[in-house]
Formats: sequence, structure tokens, C-alpha cells
Amino acid sequence: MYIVVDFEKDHRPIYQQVVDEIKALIARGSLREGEQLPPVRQVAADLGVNLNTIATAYRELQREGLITVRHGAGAIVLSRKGALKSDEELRKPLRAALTQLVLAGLPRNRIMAIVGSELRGLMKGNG
Amino acid sequence: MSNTFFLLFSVDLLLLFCFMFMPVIRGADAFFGVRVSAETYRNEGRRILHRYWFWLALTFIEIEAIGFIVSFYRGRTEFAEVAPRLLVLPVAMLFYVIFYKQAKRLELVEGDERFASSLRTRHLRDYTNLALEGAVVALTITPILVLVYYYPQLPERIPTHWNWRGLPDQWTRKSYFSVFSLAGVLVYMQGLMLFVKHGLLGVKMTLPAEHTEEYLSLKEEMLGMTIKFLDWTRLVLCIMLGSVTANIAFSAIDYLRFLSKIVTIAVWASTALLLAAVAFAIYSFYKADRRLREEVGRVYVQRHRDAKHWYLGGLIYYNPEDPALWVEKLVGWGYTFNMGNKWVYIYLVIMIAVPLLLILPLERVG
Repeated sequence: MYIVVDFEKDHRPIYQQVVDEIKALIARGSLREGEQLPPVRQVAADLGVNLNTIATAYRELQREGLITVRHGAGAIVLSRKGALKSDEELRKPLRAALTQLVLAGLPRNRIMAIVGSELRGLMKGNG
Repeated sequence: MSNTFFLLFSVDLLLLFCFMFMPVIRGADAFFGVRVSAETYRNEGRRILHRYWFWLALTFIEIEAIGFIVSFYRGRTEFAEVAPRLLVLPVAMLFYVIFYKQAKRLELVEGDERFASSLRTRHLRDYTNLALEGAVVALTITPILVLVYYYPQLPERIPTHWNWRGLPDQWTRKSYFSVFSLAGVLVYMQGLMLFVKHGLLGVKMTLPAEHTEEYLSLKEEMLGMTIKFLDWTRLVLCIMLGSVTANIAFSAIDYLRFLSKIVTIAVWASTALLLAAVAFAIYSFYKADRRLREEVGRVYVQRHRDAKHWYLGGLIYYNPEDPALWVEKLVGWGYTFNMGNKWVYIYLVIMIAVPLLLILPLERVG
């Protein structure tokens, strides 16, 4: 189990990429409730980034209610369901992603296929 | 020439072979610690390597021959035994750095693109063999108990060193410090190696985003092999140092002297076991490296910005911005320190100062 960060082509900040990768692993069920995440120092060293970058990513995941960071015990996955958000808040990132696909000139059935395939990947661990 | 001369000559020969194969141990991924293209490696690289081998071997022969000839004419073996030891390592290092500079011109610069990080948390308990730990504790405590029990019966002059036949050849005055200092070294060695083992669990693993699974599983396997090697070394060192510690009582008290022979056998057997463990570890690393090369084509991938922090042809890594303490070696197998991490200096003080404090105050008596 690992996360991937793109230093050149992905325009999201590194900490956001780490957040999104860990979120995807939690959504897929690869990271289960109670599992421990590696120390900030280890992930930062492996990726060759500053300690603060990973600490910010962990704080963001904690803010969203997906992990808890306990002193001495490290970061632990709380649950697959993050803090409750309103319908509009949940739709916003989806709309932004769909807009990108439409602007890329993809036809409707191709977009539906991409969305379906991504969703199947994410729901695989949902039993 | 004495046995010591041939033993030291063999050590030099081993050092020469290490330096000969260091530049090519990771192929084009770290040729003299420099990433070069496969084509350059086969053509210009091969020519640099042959020149390096020629000068290295020639200088080695010269150093050993001069030491031998001077010893022969002066009738003193020190020139053959000591002089080459002072010269072989610095000269080999010098040649390595000179030829590294030639290889550096051929460097293939790659961008830092996509890299991965494992999300597996490594716990010490997952790398702990309880039976082995039990044996280590027993083998550490038993010789100390032997010394505590026999302390009142020890004579005023106790042995501190034994020759290869197991007969004492150096002595010191009896005191709590002189009797238990070797036991202190035994406990210290165990503590140090446990400290290293714990540190290695946080080792930096650079994983490219392509073939990540293959790299990750092999790197985890290599870490597991290293830790297993460290554990076996701890056990063998316990047998070796524990036997020698107990030998203080065995060789100083008349009715226990027959046990000295068993100690000599244990010391030689543990030395053989240690050499076998080193050979097995080298073979395992070589095999794992070859498997990775066959599966994905490359054995060592690193970020370009990390590559800039390797000095002396990949022998020293110094990067104060890298939070890692232990990193994978660029040249050779296993792990090395990030000299830019301040914790390294605490390690070095523990590694050097503690043994000196335990051994140096011992007073020699005839």
C-alpha cells in the first residue's frame, strides 16, 4: 500500500496530493478503521519533502475527521465516513472535476464511463 | 614472514576487491555513484573502469612489494605489516574519487517526476524473534553471573587478552572495573545494535511511481534480511564476547581452567559463524538485486535533487534538508547515515566514546 506524488505535472500542492491519495485509500477500504499511518518523518523522507508538508496533510485529514493524530501513537484512521458535509459542499469538487472533462472535449458517454470506472474502483472495498 | 603478515595481507586483498567492484555493483544506476545511460556504461564507462582497475592494482602491488622488500632488507616485519595498512585505504579512496570525477562528466540528468511512499508502519515487534531475544538475554546475563559468583576467588592478576590458542597473554590488576569492563562491552554492543535496529525501521525508501509494488516488496525484503542479519550478529557476538567474559574466571581459577578450552572452541566457532552470516547476507543482497534488475530493469532509482547530496562518488550522503537518518547506500548494499542529520553525531559519540571509556582505563601488568 503506497501513495504517489507527482512533482512536475500535477499542479495541486504536494500536501493536497498526499491528502487525496490517503483519502482514496480510505474510500477504497485499503486503509481500514484503526490502522496506523506511518510517522510524518518517514513519509517526508520517502517522498523527499519537508516535514511540514506531511504534517499539514495529516492535519487536514484530521480536520476532515478521517484520522486522529495522537501524541506517541501516531496517526490512526478513524472511519471511512469523514465529517458530515452539506449536499452543496459535496457537489462542488465533483462539478469542478466534471467541468475539466467537458472542457477537455470528451463526449458524454466517455465521461460517464470514466466516472463509472472510478466509482467502481472506489467502492470495491465497500462489500 | 609471520602469520600476522598473511592475515593482514588477506584483509588488504579483500579491501582491494571491494574497491574494484564498488563502481559497478549497481551497474549503470550508480557507476562510481553516478547515473549513466546503458550505452555510456558499456562504452566510455568500461574504458574508465579498466583504467581505474589498472591503476588500483598497480599501486596495490607497489605498496605491498615496497613493504615486503624494506622488511626483508631491514630484518623487521613492521614495514610489511604496518606500512601497507596505512596506505592501501587512503590510496584506494583517492583513485576512487579521481575516477568518479571522470564518470561524473557522463552523468544522465533526470527530472524529479512521480515518486511513491509506502503507508506501511514498521513496528519493532514485527521484526522481533522472541526465541532469539531470549537466547541473547540468557547469553548476556550468564557470563556476568559467573563473574559475580567467582569474583571473591579471582587472583590479584586477571587476564584481559588471550592468544589464538586461548592462552592468556595480557593481564591487569583485579578490580570491579577490570573484571566487569568486558561484560560492559557485551551489554553496550547489544544496546547499540538494538538502537541501530530501531533506527533502521525508519529507513528512507525512495520508490518510483512505476513498478512501485516490485520495488516496495523487494526493499521491504532487503530491510527484513538486514535486520535478520543484525539479529544473528547480535547472537553470535553474545556467544563470542560472553565466552570471553566468562573466560576471565575460567582461565584465572585453577579448577575451572578446563572450561577455557570450550571457550576457545566457542570463539572460533562464532567467528566462523559470523563470516558465514556475512557471506550469506552478501549473497542474499546480490540475488535480490539481480531479481529486481530482471523484473524492472533498474535496481536503484533516486530523485535528482537527492543525487546532488552524495559526495565522494556515492560514499557519503549529506543532506541537512532530508529528515531521514538512515538511507539506502548508493554504492553497495545495505544502509548508511545521512550525515546532515544531527542525530548521526549522537550515534557516533555512542559508537566511539563508550567503548573507549570501557577499555582504555585498563592498566596492563606483566
